[in-house]
Amino acid sequence: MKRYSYLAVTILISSSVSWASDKGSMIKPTELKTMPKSQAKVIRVLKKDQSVVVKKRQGGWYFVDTSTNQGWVKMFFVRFENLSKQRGRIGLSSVLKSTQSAHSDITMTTGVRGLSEESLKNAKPNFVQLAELTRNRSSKKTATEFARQGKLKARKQQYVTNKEQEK
Amino acid sequence: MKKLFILCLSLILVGCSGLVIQGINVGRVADIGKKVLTSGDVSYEEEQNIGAQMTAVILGGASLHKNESVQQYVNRVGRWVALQSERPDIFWQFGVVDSPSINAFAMPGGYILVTTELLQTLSSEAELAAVLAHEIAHINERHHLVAMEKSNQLSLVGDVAMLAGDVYQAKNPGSANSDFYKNRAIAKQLINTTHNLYTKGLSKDDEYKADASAVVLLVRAGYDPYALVSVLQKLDQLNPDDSALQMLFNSHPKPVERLDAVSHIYDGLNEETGLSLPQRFYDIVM
Repeated sequence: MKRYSYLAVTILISSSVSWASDKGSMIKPTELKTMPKSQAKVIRVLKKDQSVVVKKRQGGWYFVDTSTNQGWVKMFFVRFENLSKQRGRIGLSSVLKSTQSAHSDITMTTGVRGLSEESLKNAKPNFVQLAELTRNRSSKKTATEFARQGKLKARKQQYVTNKEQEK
Repeated sequence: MKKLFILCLSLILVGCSGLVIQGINVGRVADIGKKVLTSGDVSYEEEQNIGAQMTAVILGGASLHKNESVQQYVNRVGRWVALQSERPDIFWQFGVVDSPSINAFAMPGGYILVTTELLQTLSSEAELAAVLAHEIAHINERHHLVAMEKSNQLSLVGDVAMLAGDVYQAKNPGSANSDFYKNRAIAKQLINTTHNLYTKGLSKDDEYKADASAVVLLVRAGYDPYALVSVLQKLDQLNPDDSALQMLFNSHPKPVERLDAVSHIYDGLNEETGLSLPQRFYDIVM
């Protein structure tokens, strides 16, 4: 069973852009590099709008296939193809979908039940749900132990000012 | 008669000074009960009280997802990220609500909700942490209170102190929804303010700041900081006309604008790598 779980997650990671399309294009002329590093050798410069297929990600770099070359480009310079409205749904959402049909308050005009602008306007406060929310909260100790199990380690990092925004 | 009732309610609440319900010091909130002039004057008790009321309104529009493992998981990820922030010890609480809309909400005082549809759009714990870190940043920087101040709605913070007793009613589910908000004028204003804040959204600048802070929180928590970029690129892929995105896209700058703004933050990081933990996310959420 565990093997299937690993297989599933491998599929999920290998298409890290995964649930969606992995086809994209470059938003500006971009260097295609041999390694995911700024100092790496340049294979060639991809033109703006060059189509690419994204294979994987490492940090801020995507490994892409241009059909003539493969290499690394900066993640920020790729824009993915738009998806159609209907996309594959898995797990949790399919459960959700199956339960929705039982509700009569589906707004067919928007297709959104709950948390639409209209429904929020007419929402009545639900304090029972608020109490339930509080019941599930995590203590500092539990969260720290959870992080340790995931091998997450706290690191120091100062806030970074966005100089571009300040201009 | 109404005034007399409010006076009585105030006296009762002041009388129960020290009574803490769901982490809210009801007595102290009612004690404060004064009009607040600037967002800087708002105490944590007031902030948490207004946040609780707004959260109750949002939860009136969508119910909590029934899977307790998912709720606990999101709470643990969120609390771990919040522990790396400037307000590690406020009363943080996170929830997943059943909704086909892709969205996340932060309410003053430490309340954060994400929708099931958003959750299933993600593919790793780091991406979940990125979403929560963005919301944590809004709360830490008190963006909603500042927005209320700008739109002259901040007096509501003082007014809802009068409603602190409604939170008390949550202890008795039978009476929770039947008789809430004796003061209908305040109740109406609360619902209108919540509706405006979460449909019109915050300023673009606040959204960019929350993204920038989220990247830093991801680094501090040990997660892959590029997970935020990954989430924004996924949102950019979606059809903006999709009804599932209606509120999110009406209340936030376009993903492509957010990507452009946040790209400048990465040059200032000490660490550009971190953990993604897709397996743990997959095992619990999917």
